[in-house]
Amino acid sequence: MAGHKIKLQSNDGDIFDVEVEIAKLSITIKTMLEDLSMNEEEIIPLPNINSAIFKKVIQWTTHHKDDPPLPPEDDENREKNTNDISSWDQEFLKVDQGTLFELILAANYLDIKGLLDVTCTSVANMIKGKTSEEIRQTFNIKNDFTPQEEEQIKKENEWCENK
Amino acid sequence: MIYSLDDPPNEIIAKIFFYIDGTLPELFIISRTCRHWRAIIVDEWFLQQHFARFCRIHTIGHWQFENASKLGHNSIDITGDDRLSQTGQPQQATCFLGSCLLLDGRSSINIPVRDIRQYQIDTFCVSLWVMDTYPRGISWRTAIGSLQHPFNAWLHLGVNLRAVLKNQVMISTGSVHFFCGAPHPMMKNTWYQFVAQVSRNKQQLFLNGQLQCNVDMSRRIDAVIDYPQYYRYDERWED
Repeated sequence: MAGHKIKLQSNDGDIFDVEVEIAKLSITIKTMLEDLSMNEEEIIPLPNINSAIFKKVIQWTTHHKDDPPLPPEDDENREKNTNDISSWDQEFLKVDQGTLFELILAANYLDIKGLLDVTCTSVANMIKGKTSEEIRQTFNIKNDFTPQEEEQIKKENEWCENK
Repeated sequence: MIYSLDDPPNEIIAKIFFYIDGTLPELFIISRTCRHWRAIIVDEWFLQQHFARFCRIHTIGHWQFENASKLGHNSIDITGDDRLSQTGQPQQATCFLGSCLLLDGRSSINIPVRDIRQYQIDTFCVSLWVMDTYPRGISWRTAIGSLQHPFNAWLHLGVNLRAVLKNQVMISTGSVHFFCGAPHPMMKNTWYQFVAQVSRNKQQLFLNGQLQCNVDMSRRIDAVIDYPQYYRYDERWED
């Protein structure tokens, strides 16, 4: 029923009224409502998501609520097209890295494939074409290899990196 | 709050690596970032998933011969089973890879691909595992070939009379072919992995991951000329 709303609660206590049709873009919430027969009057807790991230998730799902359903996971055309990010999504994803990673976790927990596709693709694009040192700098990752390990890995990788 | 891409759980990082859709060398460069990432990438499950995804996106054909009643069945299913035909009696056998195809020298599996869009390409690579078990002497053995020359230029990969791995690329429009061979004979009853990488101007042959031969095919003068009745196509050589 269009316009019908349910209440969802983030892990910091805020309660959000969200249209059922938008909330059901999350397979996790859809399953809770349909398979677990949760009462639509009940407040559904989302223990893994804070308010700031959930607001972003609602913003994304509201914009994409009329998108056609995604083809199955292993569809060749879908996999080929995942490198494309629409201009709206590109604008939406202009956030700091912490927020981007939280969005990936939220999309994974809520099982929203479209949002997971676009957030993972965004991070994948940030990794592509970089050296390992550039990747460390971009994502604030510590190089925890010993010089001996680095030398060993370099040798192990030789067969494919020099082609 | 997550501050570093080293923090999320392994399955999320692995998912991101799948979206990179990189080649193996690209993934191995990424694996040099930190121990955590290396452990995720250099992992049998991850590499198998990556290979399966790579096959779905980039591979035209992938044959595992797992179906004894349809031995030419394409395991990634671009060519339908209804177009297969057999010559002689190809048989299913078992090897260290699982199922394999046993050919007696007079048998083959034939798969017409001229009307399949994915096969009409200028650059391609074929990879196969081969073992020669023929008990008597040496004979020409074609592992994979396109025999519809001159209208269907493709490759002819096999073992020649001196037991040497050889690839022959035929270029119909130039009425020529180019050979590319390994320097040493192969041993009997030994598994080898062949890879032939072919573009319009170059072919390369690998044996067990080692480059054996690299042939520049950009000059007609370097080629073996055949099929003189098709010389009229010469003017298209520079196309």
